[in-house]
Amino acid sequence: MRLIPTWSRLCGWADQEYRLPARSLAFVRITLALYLLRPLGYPVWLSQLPDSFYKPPPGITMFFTGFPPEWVVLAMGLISTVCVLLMLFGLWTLPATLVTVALMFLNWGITFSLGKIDHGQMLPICMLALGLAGWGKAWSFDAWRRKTRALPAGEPSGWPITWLALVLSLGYFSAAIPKATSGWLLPDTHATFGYLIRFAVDQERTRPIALWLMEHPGWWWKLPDYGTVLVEAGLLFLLPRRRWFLLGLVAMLTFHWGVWVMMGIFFGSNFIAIGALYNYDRLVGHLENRLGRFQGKPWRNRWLAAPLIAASLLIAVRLNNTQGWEWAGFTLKPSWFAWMNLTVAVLVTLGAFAWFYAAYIRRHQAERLIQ
Amino acid sequence: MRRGDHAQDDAQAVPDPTPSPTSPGRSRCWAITLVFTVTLLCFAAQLGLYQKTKREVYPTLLMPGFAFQGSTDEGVRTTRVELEVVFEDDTERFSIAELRDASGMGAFTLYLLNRDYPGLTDNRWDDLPEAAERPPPPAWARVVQTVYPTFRSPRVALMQDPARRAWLRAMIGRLAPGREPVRAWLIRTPVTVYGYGYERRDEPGDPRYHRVEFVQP
Repeated sequence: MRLIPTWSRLCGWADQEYRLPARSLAFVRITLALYLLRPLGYPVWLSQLPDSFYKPPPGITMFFTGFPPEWVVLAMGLISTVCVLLMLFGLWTLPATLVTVALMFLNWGITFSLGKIDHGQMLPICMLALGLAGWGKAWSFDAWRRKTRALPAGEPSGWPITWLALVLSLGYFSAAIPKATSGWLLPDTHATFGYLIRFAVDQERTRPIALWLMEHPGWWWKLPDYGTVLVEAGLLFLLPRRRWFLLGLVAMLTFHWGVWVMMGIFFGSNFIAIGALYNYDRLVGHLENRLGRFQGKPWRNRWLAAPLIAASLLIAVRLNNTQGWEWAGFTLKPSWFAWMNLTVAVLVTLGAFAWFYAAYIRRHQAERLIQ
Repeated sequence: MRRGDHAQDDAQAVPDPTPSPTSPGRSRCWAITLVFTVTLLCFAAQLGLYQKTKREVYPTLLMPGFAFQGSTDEGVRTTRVELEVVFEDDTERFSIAELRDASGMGAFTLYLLNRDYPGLTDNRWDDLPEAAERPPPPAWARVVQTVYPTFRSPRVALMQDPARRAWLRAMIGRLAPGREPVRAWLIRTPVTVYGYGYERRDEPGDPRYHRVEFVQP
């Protein structure tokens, strides 16, 4: 038995261990696109801040010395809207994904030039990984076009998913190091309790459960201290086996749920990145079968169902959101840009519907002629 | 069953058209090795920089560390930040939560007021020398500046920027509509909290004051 795996075996592990079927990736793509369309706001308020507040972190925004003009932020939002819609329907999926990811990194880079770095980076990293893996290979215009041109569909790559798992576990490991080296593990300290107190006093941020717990101090406050460090550091060691890793992610989801309930910090991007590593093929299969029965006859192109449902939800959500956007704690009032954004979203959606149905009817007529 | 065939294993109810994975070719192997190596190097560099300077590179691969900040049996030591505003007829204090809500910037307000911008409400408006002008940008940068004016433009120093005072005045205007502020202090009070909802004791010593005098229009 070899203790040190060879290079080719390592590559094989990276390419196979976390591989997911195309339909599962497509399910995540559509869900994620809908999630991104809901907030769909870019921080216009940044343009109204004095440029002397601009203090970028080392990175991509160091080339600038002030906040961007308002129209740049609006243009970023508009381009992002179009790209997310393209992702939703799977048209030019990979380029649309890459542009969306780049805009998200740039947008956050500008926002974080105020001095605070939020840690939502797992969302664009997850999108990048799944885009490279081939989340447009099913339930998409791209797949449909390849099929009509009799081109091979190709299989999704496995290594980007493994890379996502690696980045996720490294990120959590980096969070465990400062804790383990700064006193979280000492028996006479209460780090979690201390942070809850700080949040309450410094920022007046409390949650009902946290308030109740803070009024009942005890030895058990040490348990979340040990548990947090253990879960964050341990994930990296579960990476070699997907089943172990997914088990560790269950513990991580429990941890994030606890942080959300107690501190009001919602790591939505981490929830998404974790969720993207699971296999939804069986769930999606049941969904397709049920939709087929609902239509009275099995669809020849049942994959059309998901984008159609997604588009309907999109319109409903977008119409509902014109009264104001909530994004990262900021409420953006309706403006000409909101209406323009909505108009573009609706037009693209209707165009996509028309394209779908025209293609479907043409194909249906061709099949009848052949019969 | 081979490892990595979980996709087919999990989806026995629905036949998966995806063929079983095969070993990657040599060029693909090199590409995978390159991506994973670069990721590990970036992670190590970012972590090392953070350990040394406590500054994160962006885009970051790190997660928030939440290092231990001194909660023991002796209590939790922290700092309460409030903005005291003198109006023409009255003086009023605003909590950090009120400032956060009024600014429209969410948690970023805390950083502006509390951590990275100590001079925001400082009264030393004219004490510091003028910010050194950066050399004129190259021609290609000027092209970019036509659409993005702050690209490689001279940096504005916080202490010389009259806009910061206008911004603070606007924020106070949202907190107290219709009232004209005369000056404002940022009050930082060290406090030790022994238990939430129980005893809270201010530490001895004068709190640090940062004062700003508003220019009457």
